[in-house]
Amino acid sequence: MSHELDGWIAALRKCEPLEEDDVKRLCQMAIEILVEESNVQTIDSPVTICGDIHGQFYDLLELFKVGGDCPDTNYLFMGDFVDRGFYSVETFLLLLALKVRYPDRMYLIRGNHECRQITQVYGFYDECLRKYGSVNVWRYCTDVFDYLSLSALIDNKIFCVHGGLSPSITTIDQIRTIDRKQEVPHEGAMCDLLWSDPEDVSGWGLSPRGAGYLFGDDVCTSFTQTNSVDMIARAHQLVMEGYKWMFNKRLVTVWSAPNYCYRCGNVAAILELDENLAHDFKVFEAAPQEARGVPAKRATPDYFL
Amino acid sequence: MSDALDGADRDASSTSDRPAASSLDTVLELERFVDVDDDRAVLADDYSNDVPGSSELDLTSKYCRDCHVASQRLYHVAALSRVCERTLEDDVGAFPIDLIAELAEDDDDDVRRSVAEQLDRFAACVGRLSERLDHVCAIKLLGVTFMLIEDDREEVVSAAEQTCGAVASLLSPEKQRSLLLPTLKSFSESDEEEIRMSAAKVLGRLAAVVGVEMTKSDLLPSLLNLASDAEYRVREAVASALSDTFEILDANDTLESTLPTFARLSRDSVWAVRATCAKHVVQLVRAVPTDRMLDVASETFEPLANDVSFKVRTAALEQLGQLIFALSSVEVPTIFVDYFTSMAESSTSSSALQETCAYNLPGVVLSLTSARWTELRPAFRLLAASLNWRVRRTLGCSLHEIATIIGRDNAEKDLLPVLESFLEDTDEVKIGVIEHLSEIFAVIGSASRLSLIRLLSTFESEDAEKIGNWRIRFALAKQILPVAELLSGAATAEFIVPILLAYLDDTAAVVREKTVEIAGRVLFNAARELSWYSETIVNAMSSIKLLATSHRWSDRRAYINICLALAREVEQRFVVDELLPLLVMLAEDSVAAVRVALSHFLTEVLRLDPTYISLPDISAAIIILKADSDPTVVAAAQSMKAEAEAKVKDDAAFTSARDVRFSPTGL
Repeated sequence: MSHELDGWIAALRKCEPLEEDDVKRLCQMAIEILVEESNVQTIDSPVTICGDIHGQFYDLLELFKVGGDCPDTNYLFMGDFVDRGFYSVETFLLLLALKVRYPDRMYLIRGNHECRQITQVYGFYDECLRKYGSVNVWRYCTDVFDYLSLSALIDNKIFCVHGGLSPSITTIDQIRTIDRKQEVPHEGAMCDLLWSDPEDVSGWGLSPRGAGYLFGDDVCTSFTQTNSVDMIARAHQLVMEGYKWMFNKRLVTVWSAPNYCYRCGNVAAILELDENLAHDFKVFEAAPQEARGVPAKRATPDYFL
Repeated sequence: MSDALDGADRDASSTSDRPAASSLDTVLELERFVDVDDDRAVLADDYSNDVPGSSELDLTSKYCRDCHVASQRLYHVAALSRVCERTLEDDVGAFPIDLIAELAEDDDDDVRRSVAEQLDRFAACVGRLSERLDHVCAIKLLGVTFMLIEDDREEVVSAAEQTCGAVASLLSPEKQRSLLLPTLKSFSESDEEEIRMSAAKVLGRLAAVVGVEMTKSDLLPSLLNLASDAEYRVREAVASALSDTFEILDANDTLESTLPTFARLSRDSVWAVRATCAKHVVQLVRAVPTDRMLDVASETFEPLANDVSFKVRTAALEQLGQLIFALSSVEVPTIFVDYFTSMAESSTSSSALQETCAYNLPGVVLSLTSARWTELRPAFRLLAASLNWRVRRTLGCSLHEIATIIGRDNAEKDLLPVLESFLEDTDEVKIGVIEHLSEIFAVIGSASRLSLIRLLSTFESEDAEKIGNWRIRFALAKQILPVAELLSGAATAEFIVPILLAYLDDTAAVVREKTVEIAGRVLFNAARELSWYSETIVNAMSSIKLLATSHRWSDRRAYINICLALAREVEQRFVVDELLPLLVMLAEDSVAAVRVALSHFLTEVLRLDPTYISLPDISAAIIILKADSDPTVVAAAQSMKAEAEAKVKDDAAFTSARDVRFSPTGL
């Protein structure tokens, strides 16, 4: 099995999509692993935390160059693997194949884009249709989305989630009781974890996104104290410097899609945690054009001899 | 995609009353929670109604006809040739020629273009399925081809022009005469300019398919006729098509039948026709008899290089490097070299000619040999000082080739100052030079090497957090070993080892890993000349040993991997005395990745030298690793050799695995 997986991983690293049947089998294998994971996946340090990728495949390769390859480095990706970029299929399948091959080295949790409805509007669905001529691959992948864990807890001290907190959740144990194996609901705890944003408000506020909530410093402080965690790491919002501390360093946003949508001009970051949970941010830029594997570019030699 | 983003921006800004200053940080990527209507029309076709037992080709054919989402249908049209190749084994009757004919008349331009692009693959498929020529599918495919060549859309026509040759090759010479050529002849006499243009292009393309005889008897007369066409775009297409016949006709035929017409077109009243001729001068010169090459080159090139039109002059000069290369079997006249070096002097805003000059320079240097380097040197200096970084980058990428051709003295005198300035240039230029540094080192003398190596230590990452352009450091890390192998041990220790130690601490993982990979070899080479007990080597080893107790797990793993590289080079005694005490401590490291690396180290070292197993520290470390809590560590430890295992069992008699406490002795 690992031999076949290694072949898929090698192909995906070259940005070659898998055959439809192989996608189906990979997704089945992934579900078998993910179904065993808790809603709050416990992870041991050292681990490198990454934010949104959004189908920017060549920037994901850049991330691995900077942070080290999997399985040499342990990774937690906090969701939003798909939509917006040109290579959602290859990006998600590479991360998924690494998850299946190295289940104890690679962790994936769900973002608000790992959802049937959002992907129909923001690109992943159309990409599958264009690349496979059918919606089957989109179906297999969205089935996997339903099994992705909702959050992670590193050494019981760092709580990681895609969006943020929920007014229905006081303790981390309450997250453990959610039945997560479903499409992301329009409201409720599971929706909030994937959709909420930290904001300079007191208590809870209405989110302009139409789902989830805005939560303030006081909410964050009370959550971290109640659950004896040092901080919350989350993604979900573009930050131009790649990462952004809030709430007296009790919350950090990590964003890992450089030059988001190929036009925002932002840098990206990953957060390396060592075995003592000391933080080290690595800030990186988008892959240069010649590293993006455009066939015509690759064929041009540097000079004539 | 951008529409969706814009939509999200609008939605967000309409509902958010945040100040504009924060909008870039947060609002830009806000998306609304969307409710998708389940039966909205854009949803793709569902294939759940597929008839069970239908073949893949049947299904593809059905989707090609029936899909109502354009992108989905286009996928299946584009997949048609692949499905034919994969599923049709010996039944030419199953070849979907009627579907192809139908799709070639589709309303969707993209569908027709896709069919046109696949004509060659369809033809190959028919050719494989039916051994005899002129099969009814081949005849029908030819009809499809003609239809696509007459299409209204330029991209459809242009695709069909590219692929028509393969279809023609399915026909016997008789059918080529009776079906293909008359139609092309009628195309060439069409009232429509576009059709006559296509005729010229296809005539050129088919020369290779129909062979010398038919080219001479049929294609060439039609082409030469079209060369007098009233429309310049037709004559332009002829100029290009004639160059296709150069490769088919023998040298004397080209000289007698084609050259006069080509020469006439190169003096055409319309610049675009002359420019097309200028683009094909090299093919012409290669196609004429060797003793006439120089004459033909002078007669056609010079008027074009002096043309009144800037575009024609440029087109001619762009070919000059290749032309000089084609002429390299003869003494290249100075005049051609002068034209070439004049490109380096051009100072138009785009500096496109400088780019062309820099691109072709290595080929021209090779053609003229080092004996004529003095003629090119001024141009080289001008290019090196170009304000356009692309020119400098192109030159930088080829410095090593030029150095090899012109030899040590010229390289040291003329190339080194340029190389040094390029190492301080923009990143694109810098990296082009660094990637071939060792090849340049191989050409220059040892004194020059030392002055150059001092420059290299400046490429460290300055900011602990910002990665910067890691590609420059990675490119240099890849050069460290080949460069060090050209230096003395003392020079390596003094100049290379500090770079090596700095790169072991680089911010980018890929730079550190590359450096770890070569560190053992570099240190060994230096120590072999200086001894391990010389001051610089001892200091370097001390720095490396500090990695073993670093607070960063990746440093501790780097120590293990450097030790592995060293263990491949040095004697066991050195490993035991210098490396092992710190190594075996890492069997109890808190990070699994470090213990995995140690397991790999032990496996590899035991494979190199099984006697390592007799060292108590080694066998104790193995016992610890085999009882590890991490499955990857255990798996790696399990793969150690069977005889090693047997030895471990003996030792276990007096060392209980659970009670092992490390006080490494180095034994």
